[in-house]
Amino acid sequence: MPTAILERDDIQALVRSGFGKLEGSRLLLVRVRPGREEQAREWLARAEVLSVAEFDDARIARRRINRILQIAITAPGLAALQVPDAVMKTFPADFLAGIASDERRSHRLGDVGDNSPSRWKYGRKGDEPHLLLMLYADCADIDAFAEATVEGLGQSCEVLQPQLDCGQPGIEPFGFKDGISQPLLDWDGKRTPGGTADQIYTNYISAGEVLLGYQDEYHLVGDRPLVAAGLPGAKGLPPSIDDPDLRDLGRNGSFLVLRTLRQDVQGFEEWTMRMGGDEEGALKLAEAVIGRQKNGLPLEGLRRVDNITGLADPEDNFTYDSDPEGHVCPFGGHIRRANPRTGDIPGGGRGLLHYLLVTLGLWGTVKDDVIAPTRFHRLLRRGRPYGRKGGEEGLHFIALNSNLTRHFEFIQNAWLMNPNFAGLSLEADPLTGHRLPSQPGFATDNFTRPRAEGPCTRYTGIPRFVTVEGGGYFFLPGIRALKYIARA
Amino acid sequence: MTPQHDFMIAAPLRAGARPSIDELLGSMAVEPGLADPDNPVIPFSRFSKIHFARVLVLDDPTLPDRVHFPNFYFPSPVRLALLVVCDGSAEDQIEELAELAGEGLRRLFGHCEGLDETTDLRRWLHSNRIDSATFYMNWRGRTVVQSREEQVLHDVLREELSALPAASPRETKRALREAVARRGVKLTPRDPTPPWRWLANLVDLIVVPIVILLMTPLLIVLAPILAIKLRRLERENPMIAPIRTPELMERLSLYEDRDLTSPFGAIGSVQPSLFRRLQATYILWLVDWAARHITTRGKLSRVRTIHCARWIFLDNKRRMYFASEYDGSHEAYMDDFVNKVAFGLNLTFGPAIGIPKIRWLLWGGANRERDWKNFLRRHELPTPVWYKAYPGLTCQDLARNERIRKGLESRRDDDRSIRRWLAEI
Repeated sequence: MPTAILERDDIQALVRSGFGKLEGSRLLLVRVRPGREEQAREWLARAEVLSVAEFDDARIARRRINRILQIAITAPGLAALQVPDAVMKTFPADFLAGIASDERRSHRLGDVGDNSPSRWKYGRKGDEPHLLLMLYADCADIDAFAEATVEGLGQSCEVLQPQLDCGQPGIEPFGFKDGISQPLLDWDGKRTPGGTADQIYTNYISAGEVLLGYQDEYHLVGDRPLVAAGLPGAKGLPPSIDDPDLRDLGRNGSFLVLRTLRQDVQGFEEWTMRMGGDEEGALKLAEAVIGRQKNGLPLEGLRRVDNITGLADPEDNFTYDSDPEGHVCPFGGHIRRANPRTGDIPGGGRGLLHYLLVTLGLWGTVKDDVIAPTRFHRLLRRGRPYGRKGGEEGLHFIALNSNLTRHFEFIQNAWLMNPNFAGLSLEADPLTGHRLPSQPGFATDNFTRPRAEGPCTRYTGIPRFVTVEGGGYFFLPGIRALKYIARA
Repeated sequence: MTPQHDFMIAAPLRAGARPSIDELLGSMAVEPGLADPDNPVIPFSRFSKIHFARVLVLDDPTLPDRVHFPNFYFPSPVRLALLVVCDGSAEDQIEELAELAGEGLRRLFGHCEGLDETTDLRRWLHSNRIDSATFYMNWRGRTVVQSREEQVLHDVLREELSALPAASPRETKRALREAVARRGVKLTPRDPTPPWRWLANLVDLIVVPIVILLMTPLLIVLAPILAIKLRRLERENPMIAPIRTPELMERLSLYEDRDLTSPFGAIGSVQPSLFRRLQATYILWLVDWAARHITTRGKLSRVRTIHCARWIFLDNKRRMYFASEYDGSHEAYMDDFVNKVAFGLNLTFGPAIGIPKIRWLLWGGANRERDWKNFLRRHELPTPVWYKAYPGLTCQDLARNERIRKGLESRRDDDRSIRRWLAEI
């Protein structure tokens, strides 16, 4: 199967950029009014959704785009827009079920206790929004843009209140630089995954890890929505690259995860101060919890690695190979969990014989392979902070991925919420954990900082710093797919 | 060293017994899938040698896949099955089960053909025992008692360590040793390996390679024919891996993640061909030998999260049930499967009808991530009753606890190794 150069004119620009230069952003959650489906589709057909090609062209021409609209749709939203059942059935189960589908999924995602969907402000099962309209503009213009958009929707849709207002990306409410480590997508169709280069950590990933309808890190095209070529409207869709009888509704689209994470800034500062003893200790503890320095630089003592492919940020050139005991960055540190920077072979490959011995399990240390290879579990993050100092603050977390189960849910479950991550016990992510026992008698509210001098420093009974207040799984369609859904 | 064994007792369900057995199995669990250790049918808490046990109905949802092969039919009854992994011999464990849970077992297997009030239960259990073709155990020799005692040791050490004032590593270790003695932490010494078993192990270790060596010339001579036959069968096996539905996923996940370890079970038919049955038999025999002698220390190939796994033939090797217990979420287990042991899955599951296309025994198949996951979920059977002797503990925890115990008993007292030891606590 040939790799393919990405069809930039068919991909929403959010895949390329978080539009950081536009300081204002508003997320509108919208529900189609019963009986007004046709009107809603008409609006959708007219909506001017920026593509990667338009975004790139403007950047090259140094032309500023003042207003950007991007659109994503939930499974109930697709149904409300009357996408045929036969097409709905081709969507992956995780998307169809939704982020708040059942108690088991909530358990896996850590959405329990005060994080439970039953307490959410939006996104509860049966009460999901239909569309997510992501608006980007200057701060001075964002209100007017939102108003104009709501006006444009007219009576076709109901806009959920309060609207989700976001600030400029960059610094999250706890004061840390955020959004640094992003995987580099293979925009030119050049990548051949699985070679010896991937035996160490790579930041370069196949397009199919984020975009549907392209090859992923397994050399395959994953599950995605497809339409039989004979069905109405199918002609406007790109052909499926692995089945000529089907049209690809997924191609150039992605799945979008939205989660509103309220951050208890005061609680975090009080706890780090109480445990750290003084300003210096508090800062060091906060940096250990996050796994980075406040200014975004790697923790001091992590050896810089020069041969990481696809590095987007030159300051991001490190792995944890130089810190196997966790003395510099604790194993439980948030970014070590969220992106452990492991390659296919622990410690990197050393020739064929070594590869065979490792594969058969005849070589290695007790710490090898306790963490999965990272390249199958990356996310493009497009979230933005919200709120004001002293008031309610947090992050509207947005992530793009091609497989909700293998990407978002895996990271959330196997890495962040897993009390046994990297061989730890009784501790989930110190930053975003829910702090409730994983099962009767098994706490998760601990945090361990290994020390070269001897016993680890253990923090017990950490308070909760982050509360989930809403969320959803959305389909971020390609431009042609959007037109198909709008029946334009 | 105490060896671990596994066994399955399975017999066809009586006609019409399904609703009643489902209800009984439901009553044995505290939550979907998680056995009540004190349930009146099999009160697992009374057994100190059972690592894992499960009770389920082997009702294969993929039997209709056989229509892909003309005139392919064999009787494939729906069975009720009890699977146990235990310390010591299966015979002893069955005896103990009959003794301590005889009445419950009668109630359970009374739903099966051939067992009524007049039947001798012990004889019935033994005669309905089906042995696995391959049995893998994460750490051979680690008993239930040891696992539990070492966790108590870890808890005590952690508690004591947090209360100790800063001191030199040696002093800290001495203080911890004293605390362990003072608090009377029980650490049962390991059973010595009797000479006859040691000898039997040695014979077993060398006999298999000798047989392989003797068979190799024959296999080489036959290789061209076998290769042609193999490739034809691989090509003829249709891939059956439709996209997973939300309903299927919700039904299966209901029984997962109740503990940090979850049970996995999948059932399927072997492609109709004597060649396929011989292939499966030969390969599983080899893997079983490797599991007894090579992969005995915490990992199966590169996978460190599997407590145990067994491949069990049914119906004259025309079907197979695979059972395992793994740490972490199902998706993490699949990550291990696909990224680390795809070759092993292809080898052992290769003859299964509907498996994603395999090439030359090892390639394709489980490497095809999306197809593999779709294929496997279709064959999965939820486990309504599942027991684990050490709730909340993963393979990592058990191995760490054993290292901590060894460190405590070790006479090495250089600061570096003591620091390492302290860091693990």
